[in-house]
Amino acid sequence: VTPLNLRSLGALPVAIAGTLIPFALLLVVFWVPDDADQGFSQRIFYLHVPVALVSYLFLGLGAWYAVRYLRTRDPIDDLRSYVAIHQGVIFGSYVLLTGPIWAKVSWGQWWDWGDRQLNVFLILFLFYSAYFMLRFSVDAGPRRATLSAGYALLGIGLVPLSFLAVRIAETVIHPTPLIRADGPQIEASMLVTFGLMLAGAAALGFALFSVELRGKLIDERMRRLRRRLRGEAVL
Amino acid sequence: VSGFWRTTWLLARKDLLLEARSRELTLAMGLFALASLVLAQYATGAAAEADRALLASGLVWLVVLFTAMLGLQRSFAAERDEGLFDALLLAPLDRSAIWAGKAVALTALLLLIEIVLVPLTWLFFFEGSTAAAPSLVTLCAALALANLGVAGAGSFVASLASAARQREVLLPVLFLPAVTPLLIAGVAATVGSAQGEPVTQPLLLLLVYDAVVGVLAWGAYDHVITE
Repeated sequence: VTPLNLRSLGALPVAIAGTLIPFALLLVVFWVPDDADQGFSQRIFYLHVPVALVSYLFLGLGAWYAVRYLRTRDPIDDLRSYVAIHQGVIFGSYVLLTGPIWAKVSWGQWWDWGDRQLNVFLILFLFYSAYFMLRFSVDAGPRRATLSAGYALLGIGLVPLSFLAVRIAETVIHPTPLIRADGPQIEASMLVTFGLMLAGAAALGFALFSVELRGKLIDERMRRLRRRLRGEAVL
Repeated sequence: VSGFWRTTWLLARKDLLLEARSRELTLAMGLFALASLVLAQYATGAAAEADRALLASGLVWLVVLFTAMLGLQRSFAAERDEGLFDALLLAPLDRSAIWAGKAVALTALLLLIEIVLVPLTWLFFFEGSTAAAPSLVTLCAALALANLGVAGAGSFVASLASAARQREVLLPVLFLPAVTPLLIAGVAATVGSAQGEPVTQPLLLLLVYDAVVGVLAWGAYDHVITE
């Protein structure tokens, strides 16, 4: 454990996120054109989609660290996996919040069971919420790390499978006549704004990730020091 | 690999032999499935005939998953309670076979339950109904494919849960989200066959699910198993 310094607190991601997100928000409100189909309300796209992508990024990172833990058995990898999944779920809940708002405004209903993205997120949200249940049902240590990693590993398979399943549900169970306006008619200003927001959201994610990881490491260190003060044996 | 299959078969046979002698789990799962189906019948009683047929196509999948969950609750109970798990870990065998053995045994149990469940579903929901019933062949094929996925994913999470506190409470929470794609594909195949739509895609997804979960669990089990 290295001593506290600015770099380890993730000052750079914080600075990037702090600059990019307000700037991109200004662009969202004042610069990008209205969507031909949905008008002003489509601008929630610039929050909803980057946050969703960052959520996927962190869930993927969580699975990657889980695999790494199983190979190295280094407790820090377990902690990284846990914190990454935690951030993934937090960003995922933003997706589940902004999605229905967008759906209500543009389709007139809060939840569309034919919407692909939103329903995959719902399944993943349930799956990874259970991850925390599992994690907190086991005492800290190698056993907890191993079980958590095993469950996180299953998530690697679940993401593409959920995508395929939701796509099938969309066509067979819930035929949706909605035609979505996305694809080639995107303008350069939209792309730039989207890219900036995505970078900002990713930076925010990494900032939160490193702060939480840091906090967890400090907790762990405090616990050891307390135990040592009480004269107990410390590994 | 031949050692893996042999161990899998021996462990599955051990479970099935124990079950054949006590018949506790089979009876409990069968009665549970029957009771759930009766409840489903009353729960959908107010719906129009055509709607009830559609609802039944989904409910039968729900009953299968919940019944499987009941079986999974006891899946590693004997191993954990009687200290068999430690013995298995000490034995020089391919550990993935512990998972595979459980999965094979549960697949057999599920098949047994479904042999009773499917005719009853027909009797309760489709017999004498003017609504289009799903194709029996499609439903059986989908159930057969889903059994593998349910047993594979279920045995994997049951093994994880068995090492945790309050494992009985934990298992459903871990199991249900993991098998959501299976239910979606199964229902799509069942409903699709009733409506005369092609069902290759959902059936293929069931197969892909089995393959993905099988490979993941088989590859990871050795690393995630804990005493």
